[in-house]
Amino acid sequence: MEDNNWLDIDVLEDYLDGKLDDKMMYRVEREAMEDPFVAQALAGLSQSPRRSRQSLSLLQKQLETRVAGFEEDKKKSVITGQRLSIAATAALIFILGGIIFWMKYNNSQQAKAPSVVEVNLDPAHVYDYMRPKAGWSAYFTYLKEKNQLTKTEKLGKAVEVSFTIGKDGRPSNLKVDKSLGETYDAEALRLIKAGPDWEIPTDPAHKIKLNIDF
Amino acid sequence: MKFIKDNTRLKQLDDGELISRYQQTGDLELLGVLYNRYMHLVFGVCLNYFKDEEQSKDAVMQIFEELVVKVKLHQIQNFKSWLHVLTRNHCLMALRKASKNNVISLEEGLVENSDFVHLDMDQAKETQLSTMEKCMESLPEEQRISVDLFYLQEKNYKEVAAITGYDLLKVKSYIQNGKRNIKICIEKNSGG
Repeated sequence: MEDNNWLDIDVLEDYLDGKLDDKMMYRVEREAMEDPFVAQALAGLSQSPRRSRQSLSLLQKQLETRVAGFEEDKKKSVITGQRLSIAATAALIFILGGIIFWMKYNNSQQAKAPSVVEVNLDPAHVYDYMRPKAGWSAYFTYLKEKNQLTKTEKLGKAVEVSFTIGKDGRPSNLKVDKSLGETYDAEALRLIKAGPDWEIPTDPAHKIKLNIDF
Repeated sequence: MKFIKDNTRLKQLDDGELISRYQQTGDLELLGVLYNRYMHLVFGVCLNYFKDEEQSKDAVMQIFEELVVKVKLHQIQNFKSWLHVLTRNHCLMALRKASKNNVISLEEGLVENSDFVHLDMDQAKETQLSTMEKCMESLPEEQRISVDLFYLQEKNYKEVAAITGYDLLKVKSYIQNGKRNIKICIEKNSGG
């Protein structure tokens, strides 16, 4: 097996800190150029200096605990003799508890989230450097608060708009891909045009698609 | 590395083997070893969306829980890129939930991007050397020089910037754009 694991958190952090030698630096950059996952992760880590290594080792411990939780359960049920029945009962209760928890968890998950977590398997379209300067949360808040047509009544439908970002960080080439009629389209376009700045994309030809809900 | 115990053996397995064994046995340790390989990337991508350490850490563990279920259900050929898509969707869904009214479609925030279509320069070099050279020559100077230094002479961004005097931030986009232009040019020439 080819060594896929050389690009660990230490290498990424050292890259961001400028601590790697030229060869290694090149390897990281080449990898990021070929693999959007690596490029996006680097972009994220670069915004959070210093503490990622620590967060990562915490996460590794958490993962270990999570995995081991089920390990112990397995071992318990292997013990033979008189303890077996106790263990079996315990295991059963554990499993029942687990199932109930799982069902509850699942239900509440379903209640909260739209069940459309469809995974698109085409990795060619998966990269975005494109995002609002202030971040997505702030952008959504803006869209929600400034929408003039949802103040009184909600339609439950959306206008789909695609556009590019100019060198000045402003949306341009706006195009309505899915219309809800003139009034709604106009409001959607207004919101985007009057909205916050975007980060300047690496390629001005990149398009972004946005659904504005009404 | 945290998974010391006796799973050095498991670490030898490649992604595909870990997945098919997990699909057969449901043994979480297998999935743990697999996830551990990419957790830092998942974390980085989450940071890219949330810009918040704690929220990102939570997301990393939630994504593992998603994997527990989903890896059993899907035929996964390339786990790494599949995981990237799953991570992105998870983060976008979380942001979407947080904003309730303004629904972000799953495609939203995604660039229609051809930069990352894999272009194997080495292979291209052998089989289509002349087309390749022609295409290189057709590039604007900055792109041609940057691509040449990066792909053929294996110089990193900093070195390219130092050699050429180009702005460090621009070097990367010269390479990206050059690569895309070459790909388009090769496709055009080999198609006709």
